[in-house]
Amino acid sequence: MNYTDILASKFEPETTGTTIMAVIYDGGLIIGADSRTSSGQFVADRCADKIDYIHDRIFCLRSGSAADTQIIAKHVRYYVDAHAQELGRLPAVATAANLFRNFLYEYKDSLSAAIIVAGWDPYKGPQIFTLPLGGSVIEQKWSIGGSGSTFIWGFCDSNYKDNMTFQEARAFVLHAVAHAMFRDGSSGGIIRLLNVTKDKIEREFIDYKDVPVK
Amino acid sequence: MSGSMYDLSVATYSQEGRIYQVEYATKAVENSETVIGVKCKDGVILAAEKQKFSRLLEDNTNKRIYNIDTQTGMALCGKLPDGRNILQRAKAESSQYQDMYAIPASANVLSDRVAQYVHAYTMYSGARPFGSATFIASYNTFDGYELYMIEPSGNKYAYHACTHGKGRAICKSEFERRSFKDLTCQEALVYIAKMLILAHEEFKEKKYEYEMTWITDNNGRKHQSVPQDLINNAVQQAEQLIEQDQMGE
Repeated sequence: MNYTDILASKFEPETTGTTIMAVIYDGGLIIGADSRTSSGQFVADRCADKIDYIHDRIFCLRSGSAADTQIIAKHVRYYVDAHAQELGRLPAVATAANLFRNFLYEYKDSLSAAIIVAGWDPYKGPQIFTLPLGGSVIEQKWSIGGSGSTFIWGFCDSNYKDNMTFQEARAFVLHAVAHAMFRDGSSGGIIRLLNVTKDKIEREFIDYKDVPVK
Repeated sequence: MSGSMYDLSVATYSQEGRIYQVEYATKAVENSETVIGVKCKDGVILAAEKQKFSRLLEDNTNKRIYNIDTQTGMALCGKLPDGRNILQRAKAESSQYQDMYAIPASANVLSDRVAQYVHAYTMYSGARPFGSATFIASYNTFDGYELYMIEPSGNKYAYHACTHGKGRAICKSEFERRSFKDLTCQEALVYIAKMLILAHEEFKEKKYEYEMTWITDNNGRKHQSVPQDLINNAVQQAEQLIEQDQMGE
């Protein structure tokens, strides 16, 4: 029995125990996520970026096993890229969601992955698709996910409104994610926000000292 | 045109760089019944002539224009069994594309897939090229109305009017004369019927049927058969127009 074997048995798989969120507002959508990647009680990455690029106006938020979700996102990115090149224009958000779903459903017995696909396309505007563990797809106006989301359902149900302005939606996402990070041990670090509209993508980094709930 | 020994296999070029087997396959299409595709002001029409070569045939069956999708249609010209093989492939491609990408295949993508399939059969000596040209007409919100023709060589082009078969020369000259872009689909029917009737001038004693389908602003932008009474009216009026032209001569 050597030292490496003893340590190895104590390592739990790296998960994105996490808080992720996406909200549609009037004119676009806002994505928010925390930055903690945990390996059991060890914080493997305290400044992770859980907002993954799929296409110019399509992003995915990953929760569950980091390995599973990273690989799936990598494959979907490739498929969407090849598809968009053949299509000659921006891909539909529904296309990306469908490609994710095919993976999650087909390999549901081997995977631990729940994804939120959020983006803008010229056909239906801003859209959010939630893909939970089993491989189903639901389209929603706002979505929260990850272990931290359990603590903020009440907050979100009370504070969400249809057709918010950008400022209102940003404040909503910022406070929701902050509250989740406050109570969830697997979520923490800094908050990353992403604003997706027809014309642009804007990333925002909220440093630990500026997180509204501490 | 004699191929001498360079025409025995599709996998052989001639000395001038021609592939005779593909040219012979195109000949098979050129000698068959005429098919027309044309984009009008408010839609796109596919039309084919069908000779009733036997009195035993059932009327208005034995289709040559099929649906690939609610908003995409395909017309077959040339050897129909070959054409139906291509049609099967197109249906499969369209259906699998929609399964994977959650959107219907647009005409440029679909015709590209069909063209690649047809072309594949011009590369290997173990199989012969398809003796069939196919026309794809479709509508989608982004690209509007589209019309493509795929030839036995695998060549595909987007057209605003195209034709193949015995009467293609007559139809092409009619396309040059008349600006179909300024006609609605309803108005264009009579001229399409006229082209198809003129296409079989030499066989005018035989009985013919006309199959026409369209995708227009007025029929919900779906690929559907033109109602039989409209076809019959168009044919009647076309026959009158032809008589007038001939009397004028």
